[in-house]
Amino acid sequence: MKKKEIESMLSTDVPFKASDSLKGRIMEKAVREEPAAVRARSWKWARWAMPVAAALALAVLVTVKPGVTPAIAAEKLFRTAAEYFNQRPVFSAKVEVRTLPQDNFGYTHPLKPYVDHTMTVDRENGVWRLEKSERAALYDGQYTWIWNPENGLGTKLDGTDQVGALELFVIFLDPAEILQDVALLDSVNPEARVRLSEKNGVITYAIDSPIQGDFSDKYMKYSSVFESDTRWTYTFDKASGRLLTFRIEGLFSGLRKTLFQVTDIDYEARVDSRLFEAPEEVDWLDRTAANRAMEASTLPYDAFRNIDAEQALLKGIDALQAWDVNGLKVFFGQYHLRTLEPLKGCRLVRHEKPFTSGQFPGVFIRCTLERADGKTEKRTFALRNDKGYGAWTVDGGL
Amino acid sequence: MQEETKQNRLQELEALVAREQDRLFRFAYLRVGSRADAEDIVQEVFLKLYRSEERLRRVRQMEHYLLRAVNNACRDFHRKRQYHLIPLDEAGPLPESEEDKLMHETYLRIGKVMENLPEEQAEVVRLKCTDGLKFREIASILDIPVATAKSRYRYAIAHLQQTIKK
Repeated sequence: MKKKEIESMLSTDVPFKASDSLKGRIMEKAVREEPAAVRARSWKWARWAMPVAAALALAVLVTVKPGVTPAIAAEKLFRTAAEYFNQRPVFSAKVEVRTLPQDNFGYTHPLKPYVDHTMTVDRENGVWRLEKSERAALYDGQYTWIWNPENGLGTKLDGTDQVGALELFVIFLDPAEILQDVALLDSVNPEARVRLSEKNGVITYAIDSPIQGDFSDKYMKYSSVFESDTRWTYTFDKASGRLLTFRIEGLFSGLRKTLFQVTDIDYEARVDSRLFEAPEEVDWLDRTAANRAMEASTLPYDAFRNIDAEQALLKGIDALQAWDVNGLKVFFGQYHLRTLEPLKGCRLVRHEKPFTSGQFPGVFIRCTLERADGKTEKRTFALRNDKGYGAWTVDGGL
Repeated sequence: MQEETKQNRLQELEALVAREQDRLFRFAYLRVGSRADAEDIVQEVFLKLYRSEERLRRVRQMEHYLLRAVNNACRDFHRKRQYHLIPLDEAGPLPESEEDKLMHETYLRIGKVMENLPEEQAEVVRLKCTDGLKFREIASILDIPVATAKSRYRYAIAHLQQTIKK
């Protein structure tokens, strides 16, 4: 082949154009790095990256009555909305989240489709229920129950585990308190940016919050709303002050994507008390502290203590290969044996060094497993050893 | 006075971004294959330049400076990715438009032609054929002698002539 032909293969006339918003994003970041005095005179660059509603919000701010700052206006707004919740102890909310149907309630990802959730709270009786197609959870006043309606497997936990089960949805347990806290956010977080606007009897309040956690390894970045750069937007009915909708958007490489949105709140919900009872048809794994303490004397926790995460992983995979039920009950203690059965007899082909990401208190280890049927699969196990008894256990990846 | 200087620098940055962003985006995209990653890289290069507190109009040969910075950033990008398995559901970008699909196909097509070239030769070939730069410019960006750039190019073309024939 001639040199010119090769050179022609490697050239292209295809146009490559950066996104229209790239310049705005660059300028906005450059402006943010400047002291306030320079920023105040540079707001025109900030407008490029702000949606139209927020740009209008700037106009609202400059016409606010003298002495009434945005922080004061927001505080009043949230106090009214909080009071509305306080007077209505039972409510139900429809929520859309970009997630997987079977994953935990804190997992979000900008590339996943929306999954419908329903959250029902009875604050008078102190109970709640949250569900999506392949994961449900409830608190009956004593225990927390989490199950998969599709496969009929579930876990019984202590009442104190309800916050861990709910993850982000914990904001629904006491929305009044959360709303009151939000109003103060812009005064305590110097990196937060607030916008307030009004249109057609609806008040919109938006606050930008920067990413939290160390993401030198990006594995967990964007996997929860606390581990992304986010904008939280609330809309209120001006007449009654009630919260109408609530949205969390993440900023991912310059693109804004809604991760979590409350689309409807039924403040007059009538619910059957049976909604807050653990379903009988589920096969429950008892992981309450009392039951675990009973098991601790018979299970080999020592084998998974005082070693590093990699060593623990090797032992855990050995337990899978040999189907050592006691070892599995320690290392994979959160999981039903039925969930582990597809990996029965597997072997570890290779694994990488453990890494940390985001706010997870343990480590992640990427592995390739060969199953008993010869097929290989890649897994990333989340391991931690801070949940009691000092033994390493798997906290995700199955 | 200090504020005025900073205002001037912001204006200089604005003008520079407007002039160079598409070229740098193209350069980065053809090396990383993703709009989001390419724009991240370009954004970071501009911001690093801005943070260096140089009066931007005083930087000599700004075009080469920027290309060199983007090229280095693309190398770092690949080096970081080398040691991490990408979760399967994140493998590959999701083209959102016809233009993005075309860009990505071009990236894959050119990448396929050069996949068996040693990276230091592929780098020169990309700069010459895909980016349309002269050897003098290539040498400046890669910080190598012109003769070295020409020699790597010659070997690369000879290699491609052999492998593509097969």
